[in-house]
Amino acid sequence: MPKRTKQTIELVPVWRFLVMALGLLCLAVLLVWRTLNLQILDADRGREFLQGQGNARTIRSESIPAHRGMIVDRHGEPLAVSTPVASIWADPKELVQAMGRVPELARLLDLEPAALSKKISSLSSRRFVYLRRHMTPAAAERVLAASIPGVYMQREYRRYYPAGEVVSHLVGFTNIDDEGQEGLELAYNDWLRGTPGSKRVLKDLYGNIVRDLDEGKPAEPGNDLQLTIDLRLQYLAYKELKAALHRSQAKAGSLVMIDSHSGEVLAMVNQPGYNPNNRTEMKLAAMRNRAMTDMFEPGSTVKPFTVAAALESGKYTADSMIDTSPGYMRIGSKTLVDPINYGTLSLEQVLKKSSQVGISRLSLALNEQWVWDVFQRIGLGRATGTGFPGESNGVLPNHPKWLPIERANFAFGYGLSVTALQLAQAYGVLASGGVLRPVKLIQQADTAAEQRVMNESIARSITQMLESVIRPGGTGTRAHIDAYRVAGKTGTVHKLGEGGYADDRYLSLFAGMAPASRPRVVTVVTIDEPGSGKYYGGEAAAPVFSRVTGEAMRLLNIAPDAVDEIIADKTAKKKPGSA
Amino acid sequence: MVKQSVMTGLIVLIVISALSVIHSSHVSRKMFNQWQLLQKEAYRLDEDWGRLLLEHSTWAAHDRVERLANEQLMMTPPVNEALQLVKVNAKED
Repeated sequence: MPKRTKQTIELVPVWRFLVMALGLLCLAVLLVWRTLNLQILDADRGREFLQGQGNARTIRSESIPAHRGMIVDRHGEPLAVSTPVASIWADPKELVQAMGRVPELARLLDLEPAALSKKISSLSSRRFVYLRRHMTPAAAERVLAASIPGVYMQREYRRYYPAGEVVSHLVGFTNIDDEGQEGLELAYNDWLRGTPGSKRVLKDLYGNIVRDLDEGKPAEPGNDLQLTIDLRLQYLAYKELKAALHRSQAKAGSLVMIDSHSGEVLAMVNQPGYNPNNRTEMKLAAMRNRAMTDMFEPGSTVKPFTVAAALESGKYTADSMIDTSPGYMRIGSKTLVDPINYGTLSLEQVLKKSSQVGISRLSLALNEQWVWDVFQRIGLGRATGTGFPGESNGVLPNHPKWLPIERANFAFGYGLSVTALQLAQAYGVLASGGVLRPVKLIQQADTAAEQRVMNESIARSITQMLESVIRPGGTGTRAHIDAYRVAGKTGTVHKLGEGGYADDRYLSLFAGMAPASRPRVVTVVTIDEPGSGKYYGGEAAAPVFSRVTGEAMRLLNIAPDAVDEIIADKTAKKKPGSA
Repeated sequence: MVKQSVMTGLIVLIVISALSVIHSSHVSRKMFNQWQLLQKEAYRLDEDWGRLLLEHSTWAAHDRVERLANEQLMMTPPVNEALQLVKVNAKED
């Protein structure tokens, strides 16, 4: 037996066992090596690739919407606010599996069931489609509560404009994705816009969030923007301008009010306007912020600056007299006429009567660059630096050689173009006693430094002369404000039509300041193509100035300075005629 | 003997550590849950705030205030005869 056993053992040689064992060991080592390679050693094609593929199938990055900054007025009243809304979207590939529930879904979304089914089946190969955007969160919750497969909610923000049409031109609006499209919403989009955050979540096969993996990067809300606008004055200006346009059947109009102590814009309104909350019927013409984008020839409203040039030259003093007879004047082929022969006028009376002949005589007696120089210094034809999209710079052409007719035209406001805002800024120079304060729309904005551009005594005496325009016999009597002294100037400009100046189309202007003894508020009113016959600046634009600036005096708590007038009224005990 | 007691001590420590891992992950899950609830609450409050802000500006709209002042309170801007002049010695602002 032992022999047999030995024989059997010898039948299976040791080397065979060793070969087998070695072979199996090799396989095992190979497996371990491969595993090691995939899991640890080979980062590129092994570990990281596999981990990445795994994550790509389960981990999703969800974006967290960011709150867009508010736009508020100078007192913090909201002008543009983002409020949370919910958008319902669907994965059509999933939703087509449950077409039976589409009518229910349509009812919840307040949509046409047939249209919704058609939309879903036509997009059935897509993975994302908005069903309805910007629903109230409560309504969206009801849709989700129905738990229809493939229907999801996305949180978003929607922009509301509480003041509506009153500030629409200035504030502008955003599109459905909350990106600024117009006005300050566009100009300060980067400042207002928040940075959306993100978080990583683990999702199962059906796309349900299993758990949040980390708190991620929180959304960073945008910054608030504070305007210099006073919503009370803005509303007032809006109401009066709209009423005036309706009264005079005018095509368009603007009003700009600035605080001459700081250059801050207190109100800026335009008509026609639009409601930024409902833009379905918005017309392109109604979208322009005319006070800043539209240029016009300023006409008689620049005459005070021509007089300032005359005073600066030293050839004239506040008491100088100008002979305007015979009431007309020929320059080249043109004839300039006054309504009547005013005879000899003082500088004050030239402004009071707005005499074309008087102002032309004045400008022709000056060095040919003087008037241009004054206009240039007070900021006409130059960007105001507000950064508002589409703002015009105006046009102030300089000529190497001035023809007499060009000089005369320039002196009474033709041959140059300005915006209403520029004109207001220029009148601010008179109001502040000769200091140009760059206009400001945003409280936070840095503006260029203020700059003295006119001798104080000249600015004061021009302001004094402009008070006569409002007094009986002047062109601007309807700009009168009870209990306050007013200084201002009317303008009636022929509009440029095809082939020269149109005879029947006018721009009616009024630029002025109050209280005249210590000017605080500068207001410019433009009425474009007033119908109804009353197209003179003193008739169409001055009453708007009077009402808006008068209310502004009371709202800004400015002490009445027309003391004589108040005393006279009190002693006479009669009701003053309202302007 | 010494060896045995060291082993027992280590085992006890391992069990304690395991239990505290369980506990802290439970706490973390609870806090995460709470954080999510608070976030939801913050979102809801944000919603309310936006709505109230709009409501406030609607009620306080200037045309409404003006209408109420005119119609219900019979308020008008003062006319010249109604003004009282007060003499101030200090220079006016």
